[in-house]
Amino acid sequence: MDGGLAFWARLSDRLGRKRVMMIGLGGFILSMSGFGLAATSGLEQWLSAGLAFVLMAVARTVYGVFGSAAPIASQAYVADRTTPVQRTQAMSLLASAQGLGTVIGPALAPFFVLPLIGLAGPMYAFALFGAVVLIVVWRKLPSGDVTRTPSASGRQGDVGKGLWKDPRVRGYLLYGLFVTGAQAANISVLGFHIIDELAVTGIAAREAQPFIGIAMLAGAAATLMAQWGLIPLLKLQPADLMRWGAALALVGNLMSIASPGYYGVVVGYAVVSLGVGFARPGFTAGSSLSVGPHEQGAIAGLMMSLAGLSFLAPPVIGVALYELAEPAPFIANAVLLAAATALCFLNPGLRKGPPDLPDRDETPSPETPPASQPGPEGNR
Amino acid sequence: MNLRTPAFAILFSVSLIAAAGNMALQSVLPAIGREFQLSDTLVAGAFAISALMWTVASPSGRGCRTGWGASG
Repeated sequence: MDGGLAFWARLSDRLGRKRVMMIGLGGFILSMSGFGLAATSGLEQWLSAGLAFVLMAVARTVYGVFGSAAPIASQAYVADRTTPVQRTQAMSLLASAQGLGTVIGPALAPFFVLPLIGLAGPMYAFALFGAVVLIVVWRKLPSGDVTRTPSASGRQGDVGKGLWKDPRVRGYLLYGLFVTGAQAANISVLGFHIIDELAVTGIAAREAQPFIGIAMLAGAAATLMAQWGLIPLLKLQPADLMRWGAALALVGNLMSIASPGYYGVVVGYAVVSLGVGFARPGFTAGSSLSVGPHEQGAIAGLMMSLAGLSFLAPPVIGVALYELAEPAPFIANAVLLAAATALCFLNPGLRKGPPDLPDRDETPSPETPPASQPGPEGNR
Repeated sequence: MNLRTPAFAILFSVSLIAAAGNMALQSVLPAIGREFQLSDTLVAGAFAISALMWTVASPSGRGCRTGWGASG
């Protein structure tokens, strides 16, 4: 299921990193401007809401197809030009760029909800930013002076077929499914929940955008604080990360049930995000450390598939539950997360954690992409 | 590659913009859905599917068979 990643990695081996980066940015601009235009034509009633929405979904698909091209090509570009020692630092910096993006994106969006273009404004703004970056890449990024090292993510073997049934990884997969599913439900319910909480106080949906931006910013910042601040600082290892992560996400959902006002929603979401910032690096690293070197590609692919599954059904189920009754998705999430917490103590593999070997560091590396992204991207 | 070079700064901004745009899009979606008076579940469903389209519809599946990927 990591088809997109492998495809772009291989294409960048063939066409060159810079070209694939530009293809990715082109797709990004097309997707953002298309989404903006479709939204405007619906809001201005040039098209029916249904048709405009279908076009928005198509534009989102374009992002889905091209979204991973530029980051993958950037990583490959760095890999071609760095020594292994430099590479770790460079990859961590690129991951932190993505992390910064998850904080800046929702923070900037409300500034561009302007008269005339309304809610479509942020999409036009990001299309414009993308165009500027594309021009800079085209004119200023050096290329062609090094040998391309074939990308690791472009190679896929048959090793590890049926790995998901393996008792070494089964617990991690189940845990991952529970936690990522709960996170996906929380992310997709958040905007609607805030709009409804503010509607009670007389604030219209259109004016709710800054409040949604603040909540997403708080969530992304909490995830990054856990993932890149607390984990390396406290040298936390997978077994602890998974226990604390699921328990914190559980507490965050309970807070959303107990204190449904805007403030409660934001703090609850931030606590969930903090937990996710522990839990996702925890089970990704834990599963990887539990298998042998030859199975690393297979386990990474499995984790990507799991993230894909988690971001397919749970957002829809979460929002459907929300339409049924406001606290319903948070109750369902609390049950899932209680099960995930229990699993950490009941599953023998998860309770012990991966073997503590003297020649490796069990603390998840800061090279992993931010776990705060509203899609499967954070599990790579 | 020196991490303080302009080339690395460009790569940094490429990764930053991709993630920022994704999050910005997610943040405006619920308000647009409500303005369009669509069901919340429909909005969430359409976007869950389109966000994951690359996992099923990405050219890589075909690529493997037609030899698109040179280093496979």
